[in-house]
Amino acid sequence: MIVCQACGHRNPLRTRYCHACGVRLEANLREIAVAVEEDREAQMAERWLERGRSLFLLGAFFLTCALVLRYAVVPELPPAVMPPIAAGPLLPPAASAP
Amino acid sequence: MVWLIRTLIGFAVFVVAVVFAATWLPAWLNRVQVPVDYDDLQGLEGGKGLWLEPPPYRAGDVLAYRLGPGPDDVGFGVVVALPGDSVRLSEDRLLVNGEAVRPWSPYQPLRGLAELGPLTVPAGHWFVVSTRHQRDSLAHGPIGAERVLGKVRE
Amino acid sequence: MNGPFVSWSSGQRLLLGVALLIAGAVMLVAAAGIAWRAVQRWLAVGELRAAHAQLHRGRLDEARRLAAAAAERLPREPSAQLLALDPADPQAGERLRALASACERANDRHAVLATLGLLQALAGRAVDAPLEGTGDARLLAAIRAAHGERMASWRLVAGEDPPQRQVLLAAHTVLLRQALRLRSRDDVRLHAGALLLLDPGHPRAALLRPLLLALSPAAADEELVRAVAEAREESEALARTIAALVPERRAALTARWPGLAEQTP
Repeated sequence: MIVCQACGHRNPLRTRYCHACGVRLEANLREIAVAVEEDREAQMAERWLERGRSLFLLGAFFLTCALVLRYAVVPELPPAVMPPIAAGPLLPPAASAP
Repeated sequence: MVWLIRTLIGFAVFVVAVVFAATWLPAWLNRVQVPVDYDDLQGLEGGKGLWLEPPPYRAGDVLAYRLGPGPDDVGFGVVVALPGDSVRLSEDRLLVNGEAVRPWSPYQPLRGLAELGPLTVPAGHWFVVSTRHQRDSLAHGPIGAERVLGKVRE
Repeated sequence: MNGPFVSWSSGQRLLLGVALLIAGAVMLVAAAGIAWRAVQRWLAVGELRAAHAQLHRGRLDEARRLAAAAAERLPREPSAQLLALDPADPQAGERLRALASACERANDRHAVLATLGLLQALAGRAVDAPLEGTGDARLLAAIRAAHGERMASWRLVAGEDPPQRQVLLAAHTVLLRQALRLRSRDDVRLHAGALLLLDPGHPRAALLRPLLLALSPAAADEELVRAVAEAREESEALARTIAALVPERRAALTARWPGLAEQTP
């Protein structure tokens, strides 16, 4: 950031005239070095914010898709049904005997 | 301000899409196709796609149910008896809790047997009948919830 | 989205970016987990549907294999666990008790307890599964009483939970056997008729129909003999049972199966 010597407004790097009062900006080498460093940090922060925002939106989208898949698309499980249990032959044993 | 409006519109579209998917998608996936050669129940044309509804099922509802693994192994029948009801076949009439089911068409395979039952319809089962009895409870027994696809939406 | 953050310092924007990144990563992991479980559930539903279709066709082993595959995918779901259970397994009782305590839905718990009760009743043991106030409790008591010389019976009370299909099937089978043993025609008609209505497509229908025909005065002897012959390898045993139950049909049956004359009391 380059600080305007007239009004004190903080202007972005590569600004020739103050965005607030229009005065031509003058900066010494130390100020430029600080401004370059600040700009680098700002760009890095912007990149991380961009990455975070992208991953957040991606996560929210896939989470919603997964929830729709689980609760809307996948059918309900059938109810519990007793397994077949043999209750023996239909005819009494005496009838089957030769 | 523009950012806020854009975000709100995007969010609203997303919410509408999710709600639509969550309500319409299950119903669409649960649709059933009437087999092309089907002629066992009046009002159901072969080849027609039907929307189904979940329980509870009441007497008079038309149920769609699975009778096998194939896509055409589907049956349709009118619910005449609910779980716990008593069903009896007497002199070619079907009696549910003592009351004769109407309309009723005779069932040939059980002709000659004066009296059948009574049978208590088991828990989670429905006794359904159709016109020709080819795929109803007289041919397959009471239909269990595990085989029921849903009731046909009127 | 940059709008509200314009006035934020680089440090704050960096912090927000990292926080969003972490939240996004957590949501992606959660989405993957939910999607994985949803797919497993979907596959299990397909396997269970196939298992029920096989069960309906009488292919019990295939049904149990499919249910076991579904149970492996969903270890906590009673609908898969119960169908995969082998009633002959000595550990079946313990597994059913554990499953009953893990059931969330009342209907599932009822089915699990009824399975336990039926296994106990058929083994002649006291039924300790808590099924009071249900039709199943009355049927299981009738199954236990069916070994005596007095015909066991039950009456379902209005408002009680209806019985499970397998319990009903077992009760009618056991009581039909007792009715045949005690030669009680009315009870044979009642239980054979109920079994035929419960599962008309089952192979046992070939035995039930002749029993009912024999008790139906309108049915001719020739029709009865034809129906008994359709029972194939069991036709002679069936003819013997009918001859003992309905002596007036014995002559017609003996003409077709001469061996009955000396065997039937």
